[in-house]
Amino acid sequence: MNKTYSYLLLLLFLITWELFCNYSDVSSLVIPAPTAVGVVLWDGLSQGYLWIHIWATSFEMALGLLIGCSVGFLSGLLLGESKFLRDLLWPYVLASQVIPKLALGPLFIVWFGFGMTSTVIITALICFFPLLENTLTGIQHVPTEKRELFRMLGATRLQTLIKLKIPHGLSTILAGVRVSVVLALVGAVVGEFLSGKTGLGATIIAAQGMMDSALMFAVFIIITAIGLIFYQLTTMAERFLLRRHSKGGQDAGI
Amino acid sequence: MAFIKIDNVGFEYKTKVRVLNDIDWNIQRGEFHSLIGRSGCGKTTLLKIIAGLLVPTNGNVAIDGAQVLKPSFKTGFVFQTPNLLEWLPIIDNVLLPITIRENKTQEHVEFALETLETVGLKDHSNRYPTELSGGQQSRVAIARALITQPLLLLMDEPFAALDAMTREELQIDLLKLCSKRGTTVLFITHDISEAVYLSDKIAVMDEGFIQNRFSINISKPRENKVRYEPQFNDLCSAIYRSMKTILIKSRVDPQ
Repeated sequence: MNKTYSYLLLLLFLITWELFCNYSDVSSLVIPAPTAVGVVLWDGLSQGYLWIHIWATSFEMALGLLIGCSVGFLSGLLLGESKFLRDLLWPYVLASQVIPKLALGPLFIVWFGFGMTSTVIITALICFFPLLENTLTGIQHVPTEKRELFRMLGATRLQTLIKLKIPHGLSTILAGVRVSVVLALVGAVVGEFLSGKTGLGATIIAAQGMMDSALMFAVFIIITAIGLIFYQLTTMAERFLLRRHSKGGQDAGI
Repeated sequence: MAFIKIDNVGFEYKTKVRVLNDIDWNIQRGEFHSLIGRSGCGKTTLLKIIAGLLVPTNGNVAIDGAQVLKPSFKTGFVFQTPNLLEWLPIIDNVLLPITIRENKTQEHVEFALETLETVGLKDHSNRYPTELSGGQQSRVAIARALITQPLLLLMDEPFAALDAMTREELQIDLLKLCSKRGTTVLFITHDISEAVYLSDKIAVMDEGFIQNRFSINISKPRENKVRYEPQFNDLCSAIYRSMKTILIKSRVDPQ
């Protein structure tokens, strides 16, 4: 399928939308025309008042992602290596994940105040679980023969973890990162809804107050772009890190 | 005294299923022994006990006079699959037994290259396992097992997944390598002619017992053409008959 058709579809959609706005009675406060959105977007970017929000959201997302993924990864390793900890903590880890993190937002605002800290913590909490679960799965599913090889060679537990389990589980672990990236953006934007002074989420709330739906649409476009950029970067990193793993990763070498 | 002394070894899983019974077996230094039997007869279990990966329920195994309690650096193990780490280049796969114990030196790298040369893969040292054919991967696995210059090499059907031609080539090279280094080998297979070509002694196993033993009195080094000589075929058919008899006996009388 030629990509041109995808772009043509978008163009067709935008033209229909534009015509709809011009010829129907629906107020531009409810549905702004694409050209109006384009103007707001261009002004925001060229005059610079959106950039501070873009940087704020990207920063919160990246920081939350980094903290959530690191803690998730390390916890996954700990739980994967220790059956005792796994049995002890797993029910609580699971329970803590069933609580919608966004529902905790107001509490975090009480604890950490309005602003960046609360948003970063919400984002980190959301990113934590996919990494924990995928790391746990990844390092536990090493084929018996490979584990026996390391036993034969007299490898210590730490060596087996670093030289065998982590590299072998890497594709599963990175799949967790990919899921986290998508969730992190949700975390950051919704976190800003609740507690943000700056950021794209806060901008949407501000636009809502002014009934400026064109600005809202402009921000949606930016959020989508940020999501795609982060996702693409992750996929590229993944492709680089897994370049030597055979397709499917899990059963390589068999 | 025998290099490997297997004394009354038995093995039972936690579920009380008994897979090995009263195995006695002596292997002299530098000999090539094969253990042959159908799938599920306990061959791999016995090999893992000798390797120190499993602890026997009764009896014990001694290598060079020392009882086997855990895996040893001086025992090389070649698995059913090449079992390579696909994220490491070939040279690092071969050096794995070294790098687990110490930092690699230039000497180690040179020795690894030399070992790769003996299996005909020196030019592939910087490639990755997924870029190699199945036969080449098996060669790397052998090189990895030989890098520590083991006194004993344990091999668990290492060529089972390869085509007949590749398998013959690898058998020839394995025999050369082992006789050059004086390595003692215990080789597991379910392929009778493979066992006859490679071995000095063959044990036939079934239902956890060693049922029969054969000595292969074909002089070494063995040319590939011995495979087509009458003596070779007679031995193959004798072993085949003995396995068949066991099979019939076990069907008539399950006890």
